[in-house]
Amino acid sequence: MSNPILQVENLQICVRKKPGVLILRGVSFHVNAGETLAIVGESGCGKSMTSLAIMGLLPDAVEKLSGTIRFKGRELPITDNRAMRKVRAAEIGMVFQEPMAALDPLYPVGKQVLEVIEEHEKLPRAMAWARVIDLLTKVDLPNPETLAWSYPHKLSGGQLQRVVIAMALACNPDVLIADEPTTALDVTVQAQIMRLLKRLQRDTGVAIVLITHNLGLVAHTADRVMVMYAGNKAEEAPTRDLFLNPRHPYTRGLLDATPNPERASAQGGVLREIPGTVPSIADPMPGCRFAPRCPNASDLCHARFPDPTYEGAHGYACHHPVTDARV
Amino acid sequence: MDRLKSLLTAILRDWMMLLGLLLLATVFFMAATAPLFFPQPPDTMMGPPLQWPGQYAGAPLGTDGLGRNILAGLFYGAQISLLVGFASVTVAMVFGILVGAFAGYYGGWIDNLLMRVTELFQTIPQFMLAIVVVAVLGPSIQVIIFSLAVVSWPAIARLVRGEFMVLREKAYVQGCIVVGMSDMRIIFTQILPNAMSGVTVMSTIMIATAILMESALSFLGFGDPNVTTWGTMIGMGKNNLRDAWYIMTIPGIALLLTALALNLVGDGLNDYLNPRLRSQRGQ
Amino acid sequence: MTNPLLRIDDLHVSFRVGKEMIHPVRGISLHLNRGETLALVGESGCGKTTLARTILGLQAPSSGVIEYDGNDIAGLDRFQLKRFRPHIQCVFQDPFSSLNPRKRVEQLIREPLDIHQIGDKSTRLKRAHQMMERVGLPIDWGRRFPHEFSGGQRQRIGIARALVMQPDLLICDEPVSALDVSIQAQIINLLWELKRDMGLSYLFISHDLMLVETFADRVAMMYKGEIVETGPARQVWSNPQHEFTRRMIDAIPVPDVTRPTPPAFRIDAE
Repeated sequence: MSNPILQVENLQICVRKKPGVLILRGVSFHVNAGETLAIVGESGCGKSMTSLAIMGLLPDAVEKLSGTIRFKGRELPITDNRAMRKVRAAEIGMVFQEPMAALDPLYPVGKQVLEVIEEHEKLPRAMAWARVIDLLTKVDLPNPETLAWSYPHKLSGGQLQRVVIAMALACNPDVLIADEPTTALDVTVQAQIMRLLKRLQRDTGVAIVLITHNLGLVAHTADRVMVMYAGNKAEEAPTRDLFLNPRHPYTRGLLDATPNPERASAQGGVLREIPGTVPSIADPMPGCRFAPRCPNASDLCHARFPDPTYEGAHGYACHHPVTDARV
Repeated sequence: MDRLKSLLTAILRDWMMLLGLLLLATVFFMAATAPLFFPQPPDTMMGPPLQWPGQYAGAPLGTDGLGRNILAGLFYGAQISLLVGFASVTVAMVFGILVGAFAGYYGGWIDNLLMRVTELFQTIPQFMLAIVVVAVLGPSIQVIIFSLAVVSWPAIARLVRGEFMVLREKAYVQGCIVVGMSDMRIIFTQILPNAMSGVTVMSTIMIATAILMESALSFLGFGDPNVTTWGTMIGMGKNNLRDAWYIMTIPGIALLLTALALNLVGDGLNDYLNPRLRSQRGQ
Repeated sequence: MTNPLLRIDDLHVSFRVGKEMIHPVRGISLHLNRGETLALVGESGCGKTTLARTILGLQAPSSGVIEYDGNDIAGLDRFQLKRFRPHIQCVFQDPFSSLNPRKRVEQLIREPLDIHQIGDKSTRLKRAHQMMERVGLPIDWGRRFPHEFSGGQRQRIGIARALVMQPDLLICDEPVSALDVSIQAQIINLLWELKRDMGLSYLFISHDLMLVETFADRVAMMYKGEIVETGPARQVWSNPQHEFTRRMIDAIPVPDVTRPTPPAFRIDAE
């Protein structure tokens, strides 16, 4: 374990006042300084809830049941909104899927970046503004002095996402959580935004937690991957290892279900699907939650949730892991 | 059945709405049983005038300046209030929904035309307009219902138009066009049911407004002279305001509680319909 | 040479948005043969959805020809169009807003038959149930409302509704882009099977070139209201001709770690 900057241990989140209805069922992982960790999974797997928990932004309808989140070794007071305000942006920045939702339509975008800086640092106005312009330049926005005075609706989706990234990085955080940052964007813009994030990471050493459902994005931008399914961590591994030697049948299924022109001919024009659907969070099944959809499932899988197994940095929670490598 | 059950649980959980419903039920009970408890019409002089509540056995809530039973007036007045309130809002709903639905669904010049007409009605102060209509057509229950409908429909039309403008863009409406459904069928069987929750809430509160306006009309002497309403009772009582204030106050409280009841029910319905609305429209 | 099922010639669509006149479809010509899957690929705002709406008669064209099986249907009014409705159907993108929340599932699927008065009431219901079964929905769920279903299941309902009249042409407007990967594969495979079994032709609108590459016969690339490139799917992917297609393919991250990272993602190149 090189240098974990963020550590999440046994995080359990349930629907408020319903400890039996778990959204996160005891998730543990860490993020190393300067790396990109991708959290992958389908809707309802808990990946977004994990990021909201780290930011102390859990919706009112849910509550933390157990677990700790440590940032640089100290526990984050995620239920204390006032204390978390100091953490947000200053130490952990966040980028959302919908940039429009993160910005106030009534203020020029430069002002909104300025606000973030002034919230966390006492700076003369002129210096703070100079920093805004500098930030907008760094995220490759054209004519930052003029653009700073534009209102959000005047900018394109890609430009807005750049502004949000500038806001997230305004106070030099150590971790940036990017929750589906490019899902609402066209592929060409997606590539630009991802390249921007990677370059900022190289220049500032910020660790990125990339939450996404896009495995292609993961393959080319992440150092490590954590796969989640129905509130559990299914598998975690260095990116290359995960793609070539997935051990959890869900990871394997996900990889095989993803359209890939390079493999299409082998599949005869049809995609390989994972049958069935994700179980309801209220379903109290005792075993592995993937078992009903799993080709390898046995009675053991339905009865008992598997303990995580580690082979070096590659961990998975499965009684009957996949053994053949993907070609 | 499931929907009925969920409505019932919602009512039992929301005690404000429950209170509103109980009050409203009381008013309905009064209206229904008036002839049973008081076989004589409410404008009969049945005892000595200006008897305070509790003073005269035949009239528990006292008598007015002409010796009429105030309790009987309350019961018979409830009939008129409910009749006027519900009838005028029903007429207003039918008209408002038609105008709003067509304006919102078709847009363009139809919308322009219908909305200009609606605005014309809205720019005239409601109560003034009602008085003018009654003054021109003469005071009778039918005319009062009509006049209140005339002033109430524009608000419903605007609400329905807004809902239709949002809903007509939904993919399911496009889907109905693609399968070849006629406009009328789309408007009335596909969009309208989804637009009704807001209208239901609004109309509940509009019934309260209509009842208050009817009383105000009666108070000012624009009411139907042949019937006893809470408004006329309040109007009569103003002559004895100093020595017998109960004559005005008792029907005033009845009016207040009825209006309150309808507002509570409206709020309760709103709370009940809104979370459903959100899940039905897909977050 | 047989006639194409759908032929579009020099189609223009423009309309007013607020005070501005926009021109989302600028002279499009394309054809779709019987039994073929033609994918129309482009980025947001390229006009692909407007094109679909125009073919479906939801948007009037300003000029050009839309020929369905030899009949010009461009600019027909709703009464004239009703005759063609059973032949051209559509599956929408958003599985949440594309079904009336107040109708039961079997009612939703039966509705097109009701409108065109095909068969009596019991045969229509039977057809609806057959269709439910065909798309993989249990028949005893017919009395449920759409909000009781997941996104993928709702998309199956939408497909059943679109296919209950046995159309020839199905226009799929991003039918899986709102779905998760594993469910996306289920729906794509279902569409593929249905096409094989019912002899359908698809106009498949998508922003995902990688997805359509795996199952479309031909691809038409759309950019700023025009078709800039058409060709067999394989060929467009491996040997793109137009600058826009190349730029798009360069930016697509293929989920494969053995392939080099696409240049658009590399920072060392800067």
